[in-house]
Amino acid sequence: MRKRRDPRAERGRDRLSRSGGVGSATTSPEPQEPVTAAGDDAPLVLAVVETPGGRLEADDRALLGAARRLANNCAGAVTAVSFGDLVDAGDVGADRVVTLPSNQENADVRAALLCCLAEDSSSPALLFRETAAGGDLARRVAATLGVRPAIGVVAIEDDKIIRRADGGRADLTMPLSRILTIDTAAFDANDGPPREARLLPSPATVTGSRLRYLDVLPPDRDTGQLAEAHLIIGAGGGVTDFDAFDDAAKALCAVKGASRVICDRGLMPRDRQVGASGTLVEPRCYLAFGISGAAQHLQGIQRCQRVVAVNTDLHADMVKRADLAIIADAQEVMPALARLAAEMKSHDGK
Amino acid sequence: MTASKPATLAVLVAAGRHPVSGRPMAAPCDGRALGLARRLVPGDGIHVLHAGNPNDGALRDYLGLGAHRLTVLDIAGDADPVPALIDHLARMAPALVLTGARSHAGEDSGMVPYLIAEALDRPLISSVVDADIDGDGVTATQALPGGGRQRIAAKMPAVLTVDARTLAMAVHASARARRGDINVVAAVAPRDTAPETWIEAPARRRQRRLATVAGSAAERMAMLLDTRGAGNAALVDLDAETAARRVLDYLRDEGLLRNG
Ligand SMILES: Cc1cc2nc3c(=O)[nH]c(=O)nc-3n(C[C@H](O)[C@H](O)[C@H](O)COP(=O)(O)OP(=O)(O)OC[C@H]3O[C@@H](n4cnc5c(N)ncnc54)[C@H](O)[C@@H]3O)c2cc1C
Ligand SMILES: Nc1ncnc2c1ncn2[C@@H]1O[C@H](COP(=O)(O)O)[C@@H](O)[C@H]1O
Repeated sequence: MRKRRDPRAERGRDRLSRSGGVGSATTSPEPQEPVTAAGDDAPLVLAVVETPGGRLEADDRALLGAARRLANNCAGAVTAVSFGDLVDAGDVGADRVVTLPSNQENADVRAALLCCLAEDSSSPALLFRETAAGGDLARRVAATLGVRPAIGVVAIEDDKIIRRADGGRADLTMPLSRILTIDTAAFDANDGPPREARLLPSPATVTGSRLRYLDVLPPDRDTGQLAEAHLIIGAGGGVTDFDAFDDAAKALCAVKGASRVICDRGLMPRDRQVGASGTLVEPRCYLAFGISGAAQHLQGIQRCQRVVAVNTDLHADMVKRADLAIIADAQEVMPALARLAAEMKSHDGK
Repeated sequence: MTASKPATLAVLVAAGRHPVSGRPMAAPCDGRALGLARRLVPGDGIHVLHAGNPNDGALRDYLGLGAHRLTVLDIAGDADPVPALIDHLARMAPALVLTGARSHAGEDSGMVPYLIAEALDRPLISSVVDADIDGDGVTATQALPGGGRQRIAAKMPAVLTVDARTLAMAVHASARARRGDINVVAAVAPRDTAPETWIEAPARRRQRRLATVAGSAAERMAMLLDTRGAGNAALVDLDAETAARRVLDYLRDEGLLRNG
């Protein structure tokens, strides 16, 4: 995959130098830097990453940044723990990697696996993201191990942490806990040299679950919250066939968005508008059909991780912004997309 | 438990505080937990439970939200509420314990439901937005990030947590706040000594990685519009079918196809 210049990463570094450096690294990594290895018996600082879509995201990297701070305090090895395979973890500062089975989705089983891992390795610290899934796992593990966790940590200072409490009104400074959930927006990723990311054996499997995971229902394509959607399909002035647009949204389980011209014309409700004067969205992927990419619209999709554009105009700004651009008529691509996606589903369903 | 007898539910409510003023009020998650309970069983099957000060101003709010009976385990302000709650719930043995995800007040760690589930050896389902009771089983609908929903089944007794971020608040009927009764029960609770080592200060504004935006407005706009170096290929002259296939392959590689 190509590299996009990431203005956020640069800003992050900026801030590091101002605050006197976070973690061990004070210099930017050089391209061919040698890999740094942690000692063989370094205690494991376990950081449970979430890798939606199978890839480390910015908040996972920030979690590893927080783990590095703790590892520096105890000469520990930053250990990225993931459910499913993990690539390039060394580049973001992981000394060790533990992969747990991704097909085991049940939270109680996942927590039991993490308890085994923490106990078997006598890990001094276990870090989670304070997300719905990460926060749930952290609390399960803390309750099982009888640890009072530090929840929503915003700063780590030697043997103390600072966390938000009292509904966000107070900062609590408290001793380090063995289990922490990290408010990842308050931390930066490592910018030290690459690490070895040595794969460790995963713990033995655990016994059955008391939860039965049934079906997953996709977000409602017409009313699903744009701000929280992972996949958004947007219609612009180049879309005229709204039945085909709806079919595509349905087949992809995507939430519908629109540019302003579409809402102005009453073709879609105002609450679907993406952009500076609509909703600022941050899906993992934004599919833009017939949207020119005006500044006000691009502002709304500034934080999208990936953009796919279908547009008849090779020179449209949206095409330039896109990671994948297809120069074609939206009215032709949308039905093909709906049909193929539906075929794929019924195929996999068998 | 038999299918014919309606299930008994316990809803745990904390002494909530207004996010800005700190004034006592129903905790946002707990009010929603109560609303969910009321959708599941008739009002007299719902036991609302609080461990703390019976005179806390937040408690009337819960009566206003439709609590028929509110039991307060009267414990000291510096006591740990969890052992008293566990003790009471163990005797009461409700089919479901509903709690908020976080109290948004005090320690505010969201640990209470997990400690209770662990102590009573019950399965726990988090971020619940809806549920169905069927015989001795419960099927809960869990909110997923991204707006999707996961259905999860468990045998009762079980613990469900409700998150204010994903479930809308029930309507507040304030006339009831004056009518309802608060039933006070004496309880013993150990003092919680850990907080003595904590230092509390008003929350300080911190730099947030995602929220920080450097440079002037003009520079930010330039950055936004800078699409040079994107380096992607624009694909021209594809037939619709091939184009659609490319999009699907791309989504699959990104892990965004639900059945792919
Ligand atoms: C103060 C202010 C605030 C604004 N806020 C917003 C906002 O929040 N959100 C927003 O979206 N806009 C906003 N706008 C409007 C914005 O400037 C643009 O006018 C608008 O985004 C254009 O929408 P569009 O790209 O869908 O339509 P158009 O500009 O009409 O572009 C249509 C695109 O579709 C392509 N196309 C045409 N036919 C086809 C076809 N058959 N197949 C595929 N592609 C085709 C064209 O090449 C073109 O790129 C705002 C404007 C102002 C002044
Ligand atoms: N003192 C209490 N009495 C009854 N329930 C409580 C109490 N404290 C917390 N809870 C419940 O546990 C949830 C999580 O609270 P907490 O762990 O304090 O963040 C709350 O939303 C309530 O449902």
